Amino acid sequence: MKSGGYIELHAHSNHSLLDGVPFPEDLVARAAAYEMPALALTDHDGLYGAVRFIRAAEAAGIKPILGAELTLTDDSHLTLLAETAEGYANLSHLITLAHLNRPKGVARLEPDLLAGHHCGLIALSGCRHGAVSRALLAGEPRLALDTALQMARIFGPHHYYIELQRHYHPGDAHLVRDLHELALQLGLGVVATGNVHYLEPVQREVHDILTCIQLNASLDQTGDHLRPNDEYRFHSSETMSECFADIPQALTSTVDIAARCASAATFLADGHQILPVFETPNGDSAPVYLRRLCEQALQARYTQRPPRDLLDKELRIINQLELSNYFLIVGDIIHFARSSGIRCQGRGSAANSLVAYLLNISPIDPVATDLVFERFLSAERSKTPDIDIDFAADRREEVIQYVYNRYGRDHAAMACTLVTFRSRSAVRDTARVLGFPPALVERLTDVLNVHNDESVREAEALAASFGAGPGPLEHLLRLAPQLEGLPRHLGIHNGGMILSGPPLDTLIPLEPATMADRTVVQWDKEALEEAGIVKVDILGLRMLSAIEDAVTIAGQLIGTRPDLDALAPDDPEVYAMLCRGETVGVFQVESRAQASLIPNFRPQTFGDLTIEISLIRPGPLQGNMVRPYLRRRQGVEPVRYLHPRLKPALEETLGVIVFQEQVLKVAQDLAGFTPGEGDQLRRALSNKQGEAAVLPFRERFLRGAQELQVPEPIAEKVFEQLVSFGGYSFPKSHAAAFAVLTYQSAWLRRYHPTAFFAGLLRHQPMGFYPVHVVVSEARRYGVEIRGVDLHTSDVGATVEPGNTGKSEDRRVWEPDNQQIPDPGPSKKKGAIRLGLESVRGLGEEASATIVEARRQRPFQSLVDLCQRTGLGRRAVEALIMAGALDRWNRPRRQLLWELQSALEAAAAPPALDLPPRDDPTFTAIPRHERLWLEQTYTGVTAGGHITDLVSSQLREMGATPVADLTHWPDGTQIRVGGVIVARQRPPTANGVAFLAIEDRSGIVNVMLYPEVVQTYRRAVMSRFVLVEGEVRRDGAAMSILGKRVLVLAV
Amino acid sequence: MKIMYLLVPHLPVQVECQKRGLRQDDTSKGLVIGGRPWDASVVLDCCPVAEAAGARPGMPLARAVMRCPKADFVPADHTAYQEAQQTLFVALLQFTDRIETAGLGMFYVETGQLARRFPEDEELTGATVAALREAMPLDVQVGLAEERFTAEQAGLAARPNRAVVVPPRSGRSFLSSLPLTVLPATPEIIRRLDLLGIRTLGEMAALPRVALVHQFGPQAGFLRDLAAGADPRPVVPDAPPLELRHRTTLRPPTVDRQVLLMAAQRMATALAETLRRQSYQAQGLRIEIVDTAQVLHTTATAVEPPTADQGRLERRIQVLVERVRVERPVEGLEVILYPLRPTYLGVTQLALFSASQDQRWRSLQEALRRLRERFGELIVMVASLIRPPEPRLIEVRPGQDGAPDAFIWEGRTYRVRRIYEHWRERRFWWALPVERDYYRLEDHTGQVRLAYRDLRSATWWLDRRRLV
Repeated sequence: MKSGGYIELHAHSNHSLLDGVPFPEDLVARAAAYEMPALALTDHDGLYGAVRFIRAAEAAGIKPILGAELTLTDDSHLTLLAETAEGYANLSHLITLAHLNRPKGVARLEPDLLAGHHCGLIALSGCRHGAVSRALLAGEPRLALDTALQMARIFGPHHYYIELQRHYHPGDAHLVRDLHELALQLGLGVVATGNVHYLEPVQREVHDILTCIQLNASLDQTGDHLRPNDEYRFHSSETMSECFADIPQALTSTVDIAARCASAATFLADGHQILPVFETPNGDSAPVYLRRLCEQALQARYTQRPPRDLLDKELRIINQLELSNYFLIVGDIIHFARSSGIRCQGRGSAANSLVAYLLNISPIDPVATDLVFERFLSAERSKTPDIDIDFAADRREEVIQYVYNRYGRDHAAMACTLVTFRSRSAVRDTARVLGFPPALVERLTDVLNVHNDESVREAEALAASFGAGPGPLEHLLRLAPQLEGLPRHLGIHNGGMILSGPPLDTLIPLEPATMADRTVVQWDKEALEEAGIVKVDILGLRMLSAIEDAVTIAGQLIGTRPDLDALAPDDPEVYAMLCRGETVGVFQVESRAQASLIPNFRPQTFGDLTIEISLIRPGPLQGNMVRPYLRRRQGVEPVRYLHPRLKPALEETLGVIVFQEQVLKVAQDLAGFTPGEGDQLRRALSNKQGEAAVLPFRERFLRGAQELQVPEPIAEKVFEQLVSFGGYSFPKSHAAAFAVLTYQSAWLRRYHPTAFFAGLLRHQPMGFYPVHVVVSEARRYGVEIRGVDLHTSDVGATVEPGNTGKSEDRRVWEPDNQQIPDPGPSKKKGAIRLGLESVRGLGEEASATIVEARRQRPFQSLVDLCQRTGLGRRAVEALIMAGALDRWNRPRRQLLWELQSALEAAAAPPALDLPPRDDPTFTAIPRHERLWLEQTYTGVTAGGHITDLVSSQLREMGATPVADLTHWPDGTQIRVGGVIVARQRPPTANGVAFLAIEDRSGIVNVMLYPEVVQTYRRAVMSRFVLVEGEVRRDGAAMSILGKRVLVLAV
Repeated sequence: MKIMYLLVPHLPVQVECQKRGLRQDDTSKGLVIGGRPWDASVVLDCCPVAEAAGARPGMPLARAVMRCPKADFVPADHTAYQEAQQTLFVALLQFTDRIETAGLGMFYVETGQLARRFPEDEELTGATVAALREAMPLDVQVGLAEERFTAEQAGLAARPNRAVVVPPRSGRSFLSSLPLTVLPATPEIIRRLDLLGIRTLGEMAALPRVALVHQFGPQAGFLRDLAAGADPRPVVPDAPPLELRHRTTLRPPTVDRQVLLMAAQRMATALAETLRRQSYQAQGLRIEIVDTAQVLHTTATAVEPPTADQGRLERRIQVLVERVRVERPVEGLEVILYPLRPTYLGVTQLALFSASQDQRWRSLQEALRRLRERFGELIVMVASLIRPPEPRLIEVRPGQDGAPDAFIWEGRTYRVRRIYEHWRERRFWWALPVERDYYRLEDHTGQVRLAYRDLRSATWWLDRRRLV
């Protein structure tokens, strides 16, 4: 190995969390600049940055050596380098052991464990915090000798080196001399290292900031924890050679050790599957068993012209990529879920696969939907796939634990995420460390969220007003941006699970997650993908839970459980309902933007739903695809293609790019890309690295188009369209999978509205709107909503027979005896009883206690309730004020008054028979106040609509009910009012804000230009408003362009 | 008999505005008193503008500055506020001594003694306002009612320099529309009453007392009484007795001045003890001697600064006794301490850290003098600080590698025989950066020294901290 005489073997990247500054790539680049042929990465107690390091080193032509600086239980440090694959496995295992049974983020390794896991490792005695150095610094040479001897015995004399570092500390000269003498005495090698924490001296300041953040102290408070100088930088070979000129063997050791260590690239799975081998029933190989399962399903699903060629192609590619096991494992998880009654379906690019469809992983028939398998898998695809599966959110944990239990906790773990500093956190943490007072820290965080001249001036004025000098602010402005993007701490991926055949911790270190019964690997999803390790994303989706509950309730109501999987998505009634804008609660199409789109879009088929879901995404919006599509769909403008070759790819979407797959198809058809290349282009377009990643593809595209005789201007224009479309869009497969849920939820809403809305209410919060909108919508649909009732409510919402006329279904003691207007027998759809858990402050546990106690016998009195449930004052107050005790026909305030006695009696029955007190008598709460209390305590108003609180004001101010707006032509000056249920200011909208305002009769969209938002800012952020504006009609869609926004006081 | 409530609203703010020649409503940015925005302290008081922005007394300053970032934040000048308080108190003493200090700028006055002097309520309140304004030109609000809570609410409702008089037997109706939040009730009681729909004092007064007590505890009964205009609490005057007297009869009567002195000193001891126990100080001292012819001889002196110190009182008494002319035997001797003041009014807190070094030293000396005077010489023991020796500037002849070959210190040249160690300090970059290269060296005399090159000033220094 050619070298300048020194190779750095002890370097920290910023994956030594809050202790290193440079990215792994930066270390590699510096090593390359120094012409070092190898470099070792030795982060603290982890291999978080290993994959990035290895890839960067390979690209730079440098041998990557993996290691770690471990912390032992006596808080000393030990540097370990992986010499062989076995050494790497041992290193990973030791790191896992160090984290095991420790608080998160605190790793400590028992030294005794080194003996059993030393093979293939080269140990260096460590920095000043190494046990040997520490003993010498403490004036205990005997201890230092014994420690070194012990380590030499564990690792072997040729695998243990005394580490020498010169950082111009006071005492360094003596320490190095003593260490050298000790090494000579024991016959051990010496090795010089830099203990690199940053690249340049000036980065030392960032390092100090990180240290203070880690210690949660200011710079002034940190004292000796900060290093005394800036010598912990990446020195060149020349510098180190001068520094250790008196001990040349310390330099040559670095070269020797580097030569002995295998390239860490050989340790990675790198396409080699680590998955466990799926146990097939007859001992068949995975490919054979997979084919058998697919053939069986193919026969069942395709009675005519089964797509055998497609199946063969997919299985061939799957086999080639050695992913048969993967599909079987995922299929098994699906099988477990379904057999356990857990609703689930795959999403994302996996829905492109016929095999996924046949294994019930995906609900989408890729043949019927004309999907592209190569979007998911291809021979050219260098990245491993992962399959995302949505499970009913309330039962997702069962699936995760099934995976842990089936494969063993040593073979299953979650992927991690590395949470990095963003602009706000960087400013906040840096300001705190610099000693700014807390009030000023928060203000500066807000002001410097955007870094420009104006924000800097504002920050300067702010700091001056606090009496802070200019110096600290200068440091803040200079240093905070340098923290952005640096890893801050480890998090857990939402649902990504890794499975392995061999023990996982011999491949990747594990550490415990904050959540109980969870472990995480030290690599995030990007690193796992780079390393060729597949994962399964086990995600939770509340809509699935809501649908499952709705189906169950519907089954109870009609006697037969609807089979949603058997539904053909072609019922015109369902589409008609959607076209009427009745979309609240319907998956993916209830948002304000979708509600604006639907009247013009008017979906009629499943394919339409797929397109509609995909249109309201940044890609089509920024690419200006939405309006052209709508105009063409409405026949207002003709369907045009920039080139005839684009027709096959874009005909489905009327010449407009909507889906990610169309990027592949366009690249194929117009520029001759292979499907795999097309997918690479697609990835580059969505790559966060921006233009640099796209440029090579542009040249390829133009060249390919030229070869196909496509005129260059057209090719350029098409490519620009692809770029502006970007990657922030849905794959068609993903949209199609979502469209299944859209259709199912819409179907339920159309045919089983009571069950549907009950299902939604059971799984709040979810969806676009707050819960009271769901309730209002249910009412508008003719579903009766009944308030929480102590005697009949379950924990969650339930369905009861419709208006029975029974008094207990009405609040007879109300002074105005007002009820919800009877929608008439043709519209009676049953009633939903709100659940106990909807009472704020009660909680699921208390709700379950009530239900359980009530099962034994009904509650007879307040005392009985308090005695048998043990609920405290606040919980019972909440029940009373939510109306849950109204069945007792007592004014709520009377019950509140009596609660004191009830609590006393429940705690200890009265010993004396005291004469009755002269307790006051309370009357019923006025309706207005009752609505407010219901809203406060349950979030909904069972006894009316929330806007009844301002109805008189709306009338006086001449507000038009939302339902009546349909009559008014474009440009009409109008007033509308109600409660704001949604507020958005999308980044793509140039400062325009969108409100959704609801009154009793419906929801209307309001658009506000930036100047209006600024002028009426307070009103825009309040709850009840009146908007003055004009009607805007855009085809069949209607909205209000607001000009004034006024607050309505309650 | 009625009770008068006098309120100087935002007394600290008014005092600060007066110092600055401002009116309260002149403070367009807002004025917050309590310290600088970054002090770990709380708001003492704030002007209405700051209050409208959300600042509140008792709120941490850091939070107050977030509410009103443009406000002026000033440290509290407790001496000035106490002096204002005392001035107002003394002004009220013109009327009666039945005065209860309820807080800074708040007083209750029992008006029973004033009925003859001021037959009409408006006369009384007008005269009171005038007297206070003459003593201290601060805005004042006055309330007059049959009981103290109603008087307080009336005072709060009054406009500046005006009074609200609640006619007899009208307290309950006056209070009825006021919100519950004016009661000294816990937030939990207020919350529960609100849930019950009880939101005014009238509604609360209408509830049965026993039931209220059962529902909310004993405090509720008291609160209901307040709400019903039946506050049972009297005015508890906090004005110190105008004088303390101690009298002794001499048997047999004597002309012996020593005997008189001893008797007077015994009385001084007892009076000093009383002063200390009641936390008062004497501002004046008088002795009265009655001889056998029943002639009264009097002599007096001021006590400055006011004191409760036995020794000082004894010394003053000695002076007085020696001064008084006695021609016939004395049969009665009385020592009178008058006037008195509460001890706390003599307390001063020194804000030393914001002052300059000289000012700090002067303030400290003055504080020590006063402490010694009050408590005696032994009360203060001064510790001295030992500071490390300062580094000394030297000239260095550097070698090729930049390390010193020789140095000149105090005119003498020292050759460097050996350099043991060399290290670098690059510290405190965020404050006062230190950038030094240190050398531990041995000079030709065999002395081991520590020298460093300060990179920022490009000078060499001999660090005399360590001589190893």
